[in-house]
Amino acid sequence: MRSRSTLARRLVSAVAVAALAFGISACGPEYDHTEISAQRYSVLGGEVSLRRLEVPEGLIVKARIVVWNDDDEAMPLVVRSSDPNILEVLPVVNDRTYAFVGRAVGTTTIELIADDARVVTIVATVTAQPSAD
Amino acid sequence: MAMRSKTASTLALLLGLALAACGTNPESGSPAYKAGELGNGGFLFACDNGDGVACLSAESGDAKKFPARIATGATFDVRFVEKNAQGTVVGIDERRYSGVTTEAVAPFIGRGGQGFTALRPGYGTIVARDSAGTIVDFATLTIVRPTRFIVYRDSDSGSRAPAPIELLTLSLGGSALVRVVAADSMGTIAGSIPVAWSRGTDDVVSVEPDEDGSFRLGAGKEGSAILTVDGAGGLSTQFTVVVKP
Repeated sequence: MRSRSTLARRLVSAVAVAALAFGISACGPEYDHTEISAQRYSVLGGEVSLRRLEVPEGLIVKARIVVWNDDDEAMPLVVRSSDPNILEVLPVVNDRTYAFVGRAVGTTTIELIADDARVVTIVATVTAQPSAD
Repeated sequence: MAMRSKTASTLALLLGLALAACGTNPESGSPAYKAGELGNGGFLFACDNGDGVACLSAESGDAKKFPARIATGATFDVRFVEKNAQGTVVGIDERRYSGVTTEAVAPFIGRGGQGFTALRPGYGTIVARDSAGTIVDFATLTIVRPTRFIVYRDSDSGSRAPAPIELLTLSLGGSALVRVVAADSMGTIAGSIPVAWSRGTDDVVSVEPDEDGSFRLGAGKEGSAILTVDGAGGLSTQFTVVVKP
């Protein structure tokens, strides 16, 4: 018959191992910051920044977007629109570059998703073109 | 066997190079190209030249110069060329993108005619995308609403500012070849717009579609007639034809 002290020692060891495993996983690389660069705006302007995104209806603005973890590594990234009928996000052949297509006048949000977690949300507006008539 | 395989490979390479040298695209740097905004190639403009359309003949087939303005309601086509490549497979940064086609971004440009239709005045976008939906490049087009038609002599073809006909004199039994293009106060505007002709006086002059988007006006009998050219959006132009013996 095992003594209570042996059982207690095993229980303490198991708890210690579990705590150690949790500690190790909690110390993995995490999202650190987002870099937006190489913006190209339309003939009627636009904006792509962490504060806001703006594109005229019927036109395209593009930007290079990279999200970094705290190990200075670029993270896999998904950029998506909450309403593609207003603003659609399309990949571009150039590395880590995205095209934002103004489909219809309105407001929506753009989400940056890294490692299955939403890391940034940007308010996005598609503006009307000035009347040309 | 190895020698035959090597010879066949060499011949295939030489044939490929020869075919590439016979490509039909304008040379790099030609004004026919509108550079893509991503720097991955250029776009070429083509005008639909079917019967009964208005189109500046300088832009028949691939335009020698990509037009600065396209008329609302006009049909046209745009194709993408990646740095003198041919076909629908594009190579960028050592990656290949297949099934590249051009698409319009609504609502200013839509599908129509042999390619696209300019739907609203303003700025519209044509994108080149591969079969996976990745954007290879894109271009912005300026769309303006025309205010009139210009009817001009076919001999003025190639001019970007053809002289409008106000009075055309024909000899009995003779004919003249004319063309029609959309325009506004700033000049001619590219694109094909279907037109309809009407004659004020029967039998003085006949109008028949001719080759490549032109119209042949034939002298029927002595007299004068007012010809009217009508298009979509209430666009209309008139001029006088006089037939002399």
